[in-house]
Amino acid sequence: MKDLKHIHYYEQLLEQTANELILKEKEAGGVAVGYTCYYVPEVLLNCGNAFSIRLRAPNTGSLDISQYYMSSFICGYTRALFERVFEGGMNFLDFYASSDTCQQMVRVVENIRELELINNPRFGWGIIDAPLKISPHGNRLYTEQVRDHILKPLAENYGVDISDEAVRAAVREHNEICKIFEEISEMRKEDNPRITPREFHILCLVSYSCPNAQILPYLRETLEDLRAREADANNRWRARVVVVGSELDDYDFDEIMENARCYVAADRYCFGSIPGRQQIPLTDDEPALDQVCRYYLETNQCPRFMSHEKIQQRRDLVRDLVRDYRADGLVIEQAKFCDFWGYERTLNTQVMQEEYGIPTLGIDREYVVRGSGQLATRMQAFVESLEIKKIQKGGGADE
Amino acid sequence: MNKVSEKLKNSASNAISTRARIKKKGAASNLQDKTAIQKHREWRGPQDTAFDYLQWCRLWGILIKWAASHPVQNVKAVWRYRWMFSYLTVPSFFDRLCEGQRGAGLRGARNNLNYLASDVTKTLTTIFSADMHLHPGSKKAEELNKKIICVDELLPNLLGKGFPGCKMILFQEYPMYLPSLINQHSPVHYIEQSELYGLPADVCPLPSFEAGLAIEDDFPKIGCCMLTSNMPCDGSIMTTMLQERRIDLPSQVLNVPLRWKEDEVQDYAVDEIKSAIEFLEKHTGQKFDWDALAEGCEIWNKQNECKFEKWDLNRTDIPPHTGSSAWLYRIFEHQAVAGEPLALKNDLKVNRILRRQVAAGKCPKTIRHRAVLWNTPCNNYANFNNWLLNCWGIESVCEMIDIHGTDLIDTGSRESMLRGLADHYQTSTMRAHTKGGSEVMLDSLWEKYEEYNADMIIMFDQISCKGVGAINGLFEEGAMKRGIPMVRVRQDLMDPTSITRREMRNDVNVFMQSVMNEEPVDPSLVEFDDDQSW
Amino acid sequence: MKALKILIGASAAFFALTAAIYWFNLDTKAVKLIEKPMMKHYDSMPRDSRL
Repeated sequence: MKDLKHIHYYEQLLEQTANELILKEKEAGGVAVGYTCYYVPEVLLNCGNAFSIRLRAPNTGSLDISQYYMSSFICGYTRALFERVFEGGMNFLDFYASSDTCQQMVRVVENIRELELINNPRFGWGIIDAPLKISPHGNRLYTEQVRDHILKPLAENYGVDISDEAVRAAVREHNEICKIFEEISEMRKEDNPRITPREFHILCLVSYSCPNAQILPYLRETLEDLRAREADANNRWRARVVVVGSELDDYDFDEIMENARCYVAADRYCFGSIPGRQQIPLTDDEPALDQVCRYYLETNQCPRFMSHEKIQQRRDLVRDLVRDYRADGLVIEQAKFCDFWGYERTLNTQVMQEEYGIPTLGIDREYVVRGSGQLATRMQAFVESLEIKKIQKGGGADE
Repeated sequence: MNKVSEKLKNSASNAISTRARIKKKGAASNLQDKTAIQKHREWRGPQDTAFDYLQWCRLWGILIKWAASHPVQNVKAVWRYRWMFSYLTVPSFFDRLCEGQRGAGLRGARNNLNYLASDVTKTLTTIFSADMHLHPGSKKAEELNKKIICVDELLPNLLGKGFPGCKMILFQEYPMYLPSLINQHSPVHYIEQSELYGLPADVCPLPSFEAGLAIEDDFPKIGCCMLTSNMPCDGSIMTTMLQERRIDLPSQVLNVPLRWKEDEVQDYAVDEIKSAIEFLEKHTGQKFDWDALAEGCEIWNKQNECKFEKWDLNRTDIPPHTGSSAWLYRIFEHQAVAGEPLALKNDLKVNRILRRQVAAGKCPKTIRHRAVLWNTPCNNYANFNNWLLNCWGIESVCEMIDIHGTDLIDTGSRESMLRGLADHYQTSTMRAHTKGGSEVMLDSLWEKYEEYNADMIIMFDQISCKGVGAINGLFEEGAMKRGIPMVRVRQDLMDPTSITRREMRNDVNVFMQSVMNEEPVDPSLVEFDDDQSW
Repeated sequence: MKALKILIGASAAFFALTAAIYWFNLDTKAVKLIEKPMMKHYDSMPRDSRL
């Protein structure tokens, strides 16, 4: 297939935590708001002249400094972020919006605060407490926390417009990006998809790690590219899977999948598109902030939600994705040392296989996936098993 | 008769010479190799030994009374549940927690521990009488279960005072938490099971142990409903999901806020308690009794005041009530017997004993250092404090794990009681410092260091605790900046296969020898093998 | 009087027995003896082990 026009540019952008589009937006007066987690409503960080950056630490090498400040049993993502902060790679940040929903991730901002690591006189931070079940008083808490710890500081200290109209404008812009992703996502349902898993992940990542206003024109062009694109004549994919799991911002993971000729039809992981790249519906009869917060709580797929209905929702969503994206199987990936996904992976690898009848592979991986031979081997073996199942069911194996 | 009296004479003189030998050779010479079982019980001088003997008799009285109350049921329970074996070793456990103690320290410890034994045996009777594993198909057990409310073990059960017709039981306390303290090997099999089923080995052993119990169906089958929670941490949230597949009771999450220092979360905390009350009323068929709750809260307030007095006494130069039994009792009191009149009675009695010793200016122990112990202590080395004092003269004057639930509850109105309860939950065991923001755990450490006139810090580095592990460096830098000697003792909470007691002692030994340049009080305790000890 | 003598005798015997058990730590040692067979029993019990 012909390369997408901007794919190499996207790859370049993703090589830096502080990429050129971030710096450009800052020069234009933008307020850079970093965050790491779906518990922090991304769309609200794009009100007024603020712009959201979901933080990554590309090209992470040694983690010596973070190893000293944090133990070696802390998840790689957290340590990589901290290492990047220490190296000065996040001095562009004006505000760090965090949530006390993952005890590891929240410690990054607490370490930053104690050690005064961000060399930016404007730097501020906010930490929200969020419920782990849905209830009217939980919605209220969440909305108040977001307003008091994120929006108000942005307004008071950076002059960001957080009015109802500003929120609605941010939602409109967000929805425009999501509309692009919804259309591209549909392409993944094709028999011979015209977009590869790696490309899709790259698109997702740039949409999270670059200012909306700066990346939107590129994404529009990419959509045009894809509309016109024709898939390769030969369908090289041996199996289709849904990938579910924890934070995954290394698109080398998709390369490993592709090398095994395994198509990632749907991505239900943090930094993926589900949830995160679906349009947010708003009505006029209620403040936009309340609606947005409720939306983020209801669509949140973090295993931290421990009520029965949320546990069931997570499993049913995965089942629906497997059905809708015509997947042959499921891969549940977990970042090493992630407590939430450690348990979720352990349990759901069995539940999805035995109770939902979906062939499932559970894996754990480092933050940096590149060169993981073990992962490649396991994926190969899984793909082969999926092929065998297809043959047994009466379908043919793909050449 | 002469042969008997001759034997007794020899035995007595052997004991005397053994005492002399031990005094010369050290306490470790009285321990069997590997099992660390005492060859004979400790000689503490005539008065303290006599006291200790009487308390041991009292303990055995409690255990025999329990065993005899339902002999068949209790034998069945020991036969059915692996974790029950640990309870057979309780006399040995109490001995370890009282190692080296004299005077008020010994008296306080023994009284506290025997009260715990009394309460635990009563609760075990309730549990086993209702346990459908032991009484399948029993109507009597079914009826009993209708009045049993199970709660997550880190949720304090003070709320249960509002249901006087019911018994609120800390579900995992008896199969998991207490056995992990009593017998360091009790978690091992269960952790292995959870890892066999795919749970990563890096997760905290506490939720892993619970997961293993669920996997093996080794939780008693009791209760009419369950309150689960997010206490104290991420791992505990997740293990609940696994456990609920086995527990099969109507359940509701009581979501306790983490940023407990903020006023903004208090309304939510109160709403969650109200929601929990509604849930419990629905499933027990009982109306919540606000007067009974008020009475319970007032008793708890008095229990807390007793604890404050103990802390005041420990701030003196002759701290009377420190160490393992002190923090263990506090945890149990806070979680399981808050609002219990008998617990208060015990507290008042113990405080009288402690006050008397301090007033007399006595200090029957060798104290070379006053240490603040921070972060969670190691369940699989529950008597680590005793070793610190006996080997190096390090007195644990203040422990983080001891400090929780310290706000008094205003029983003036329902709303104020709910607020007080909400605060009680949010500042519960392992929550009061590890949540609320890192500044809580950091600032509080430096404050306590000054308050207790300490001269060193012992920082438990619980390797699988992600929340505290992620701020390790801040403790190091803080201690360095303040010129405070701090020793980091690695431990894995309740997994002795990961870090052994010996390795923990070694961390302290190396520090005391190479940093503090000191000789031990009892050299025999520096290095000994107790890997097979309970 | 006889009853008093019996009572004193029984008390003395009780004290001697319990003191011996206490001093020589016989209760702990007895439990240690049954530990291995108990563990063997627990290991051999049929179990419904599952997630």
